[in-house]
Amino acid sequence: MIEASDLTVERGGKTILESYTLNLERARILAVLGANGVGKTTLINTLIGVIKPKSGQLSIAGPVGFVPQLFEVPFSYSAFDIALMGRARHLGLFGAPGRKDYEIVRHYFHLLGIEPLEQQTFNSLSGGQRQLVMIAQALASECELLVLDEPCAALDYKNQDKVLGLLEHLRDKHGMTIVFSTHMPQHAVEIASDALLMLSGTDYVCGPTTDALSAENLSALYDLPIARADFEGLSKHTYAPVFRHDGGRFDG
Amino acid sequence: MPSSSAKAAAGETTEIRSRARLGSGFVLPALICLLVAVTLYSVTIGRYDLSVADVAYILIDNVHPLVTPYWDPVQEIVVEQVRVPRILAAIVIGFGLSMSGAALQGLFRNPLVDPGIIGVTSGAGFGGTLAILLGLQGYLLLTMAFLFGIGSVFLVKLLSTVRGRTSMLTLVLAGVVISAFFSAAISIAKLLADPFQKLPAITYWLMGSIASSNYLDVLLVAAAVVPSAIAIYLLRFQINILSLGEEKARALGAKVLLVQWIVLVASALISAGVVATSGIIGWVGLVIPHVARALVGADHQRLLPVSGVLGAIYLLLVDNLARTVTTAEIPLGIITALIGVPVFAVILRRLHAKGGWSGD
Amino acid sequence: MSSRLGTHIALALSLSILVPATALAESSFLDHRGKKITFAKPPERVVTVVRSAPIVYRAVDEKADHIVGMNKDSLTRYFTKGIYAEMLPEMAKINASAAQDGFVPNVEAILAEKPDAVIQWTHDEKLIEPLERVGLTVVGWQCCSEQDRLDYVTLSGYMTGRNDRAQAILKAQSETLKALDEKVGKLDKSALPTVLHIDKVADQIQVIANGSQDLSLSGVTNPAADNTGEWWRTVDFEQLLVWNPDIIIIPAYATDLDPQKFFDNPVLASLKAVKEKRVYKQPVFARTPDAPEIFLTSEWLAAVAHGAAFAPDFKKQIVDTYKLIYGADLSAEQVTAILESESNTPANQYAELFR
Repeated sequence: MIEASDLTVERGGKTILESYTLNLERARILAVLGANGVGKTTLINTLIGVIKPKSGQLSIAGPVGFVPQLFEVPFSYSAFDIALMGRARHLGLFGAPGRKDYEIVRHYFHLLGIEPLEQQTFNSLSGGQRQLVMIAQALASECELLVLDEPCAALDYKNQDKVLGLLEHLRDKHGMTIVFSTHMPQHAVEIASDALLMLSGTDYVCGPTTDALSAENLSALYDLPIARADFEGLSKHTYAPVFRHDGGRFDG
Repeated sequence: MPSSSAKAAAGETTEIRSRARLGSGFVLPALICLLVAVTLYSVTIGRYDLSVADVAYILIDNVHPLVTPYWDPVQEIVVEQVRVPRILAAIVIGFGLSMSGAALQGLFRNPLVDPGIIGVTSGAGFGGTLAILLGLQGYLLLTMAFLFGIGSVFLVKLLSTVRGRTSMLTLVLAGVVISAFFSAAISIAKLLADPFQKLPAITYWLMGSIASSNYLDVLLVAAAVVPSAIAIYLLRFQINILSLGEEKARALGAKVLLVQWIVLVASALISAGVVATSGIIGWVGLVIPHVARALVGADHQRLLPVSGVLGAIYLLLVDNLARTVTTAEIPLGIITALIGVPVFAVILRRLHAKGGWSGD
Repeated sequence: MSSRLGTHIALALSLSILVPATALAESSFLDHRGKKITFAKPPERVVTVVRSAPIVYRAVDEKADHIVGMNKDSLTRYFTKGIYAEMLPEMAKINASAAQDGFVPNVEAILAEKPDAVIQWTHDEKLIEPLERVGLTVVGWQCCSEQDRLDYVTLSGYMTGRNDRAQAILKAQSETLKALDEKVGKLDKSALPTVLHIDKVADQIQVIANGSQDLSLSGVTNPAADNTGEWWRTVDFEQLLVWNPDIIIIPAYATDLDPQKFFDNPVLASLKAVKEKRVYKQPVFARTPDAPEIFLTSEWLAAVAHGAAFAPDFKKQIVDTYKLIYGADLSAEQVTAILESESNTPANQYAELFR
């Protein structure tokens, strides 16, 4: 689905990513992890075509849908209006949505279980609800690759659970290829088939989750001891940070 | 889906509702009827005494003679040569300015935008002023107003686009700068103009009046407004998308640069056409879209035509005021400012109360 | 420029042809646009948009009966107070809704008066087109050279059928100016006094650079005249000092200025004209540049510059001129008021000049 080789991306004159190579097959989920400022957003923007790489090859075998992290609109569009805009790619320059487009959007609202929100003002919705509307928008564009920028960052646990479940559902039932960035390794553990750990603009670890996601790699990634934690009574595990590992002295 | 969240969502529906979904399909036809009614009313009022019946017979006589003409030929002339052209002009101008205002507000993702903000009004004003200064009239004046109007928009876009990206905030600031520049240039031109011929001509032209509109003027302004309005209307969905932000729009696959250019050029054409034929009429493109938004919501598919018709009605009523309130002909631009400023203040307060707008 | 010249020649020719034919009611002439206007008989109902037209028309027609509408500005400027209001009280009763803002005609109000003719400026198409569009006869007046102003009288003569009056007024002017010219011709051309017309004194000073008044008729020069063709120039005090004019004239329309203000102003105290108290307020006959009596200004200025001999018996001349033009009998107080004698008291020897 995604074939990127030797990608170098610049932003504002500075090289953010250098010689990135990654491949992602269809119907797989890639979790992108990294510390603040390492270039996750740049990578995502490159994938969705907003930034053109300075050098290297990038090919994506299908239309891309994008779900941004935060979103406010300057006008009081309804949730439906917002999702409907996802149909842009299918309408010409001077086109306007027709019955078919309306029905497609309605279908995704139903799928995501947010039909009651259709006529509400987008800006008045909660963070989680907005996220779902944005996902509906991306789905309405009938994309084959769905890219999400920190989809769980502003959500409470319940909504995070919902979103994770939804992403997995999309992959399983609709064959969607998914890329999402996150600060919580647990998200990757839960649903990602592949993981990309961006250690720096030049240094990264990429591969199946079982391989790439390790306490060692994560510790290097976050410059903080990360340890594997197993849930008591459940056959699940996660990776969690060990805060104040050196006795908790604040040296400044 | 768990029942609790369904209940919660349903509960929210009753509390928060987005704008005017009820009967929004009726608003446009209702407004069009209102426009027709106001137009007919406008033809009957004026300093020259004419009854409604007189006017009706005179107008219908053009289509199919109903009664043998009992009226003074002067009365017919008043209706057909004095009132009708300026009524048509008011409709076209009001429609054009409001629609372009709504489109620009969407493009700039800012509901506080007036078509003048892209610098076209001052630019066109200067173009016309320069033409008068140089002794040009008629088509040459119109052309110069046009060229300077479009040119100033080009300048504004140039100033605010870096590496292919246009910051909307910078565009607005650049527009302010260019407007200020051309306003100063107009002042200089006025200083240089001789006080008996050119200066009064310049002042008169700038103040904005459709008092002397004839059918040719109507044709010219329509030639500027109609194709531009059509282009803007065709882009109604694209404007929705662009109002999400340039990057988001690009991600959705919209041809951002192309849409921006078309809307800007169309708006510039409308504004330049209006200034060239009728001087500077402000505050219409700023205020009317807000009223329209209150009626039918923010979706530009509905907003654009409703803004247009509402603007036509508004300017027609304003022009009626301008020509009947006193002996004098009050310039349109003055009345629209007198009404526009307090209304704008109210809008500003309401926006502020709701948490303002999200800029770049 | 050549079209203007052509128009003037045509006007002059037509005047010479038509003067003997005043007995005939029909009149056909060219207005300032070069357009042929024909009246079967003198128009009964005339509306004027040109501000000063009522004055000229009334002067030539000897009555105001045929003026049925005028510019609001005419009313407020001339006929509410001042010398015209006193001499011609009937003018204040004329309907003043033909126009207000500048010269934009209020077409419906004009039509309501059912005029036979409308007098309007020619410098902008948009001023005349709406009137002709509704079938009105428009007589176009051009602005604003000396010759144009003479033509206003001539054109009014054609319209009213009173070419005799027009001729008489123009004759009075040309005779006075001819007499003046003879006296001025004897002056030493290289030593003519400099005269500045100043109409605004604030942080900046506004002077007339290239006005329409021919100052050479009065035997003076304007140091501010240049080739730019601009009417006014705004200068600072230093420039004033450089020019250091012999005489300063305050135009009649600068109602908030008088000679005393100049004499009281400490900044201006070092100017030659101020020291010698040769700062004068223009008399009221210069109030509107289109008035038929404005030629008196040239004479007045010559007297101020060169002495009373250049305007002999000026008070009597004023009385005679106003009698001719307006049929008014001026009282002694009115003549003094016209001369702005009160404002000019502090000026050098004003009372003696015009005894």
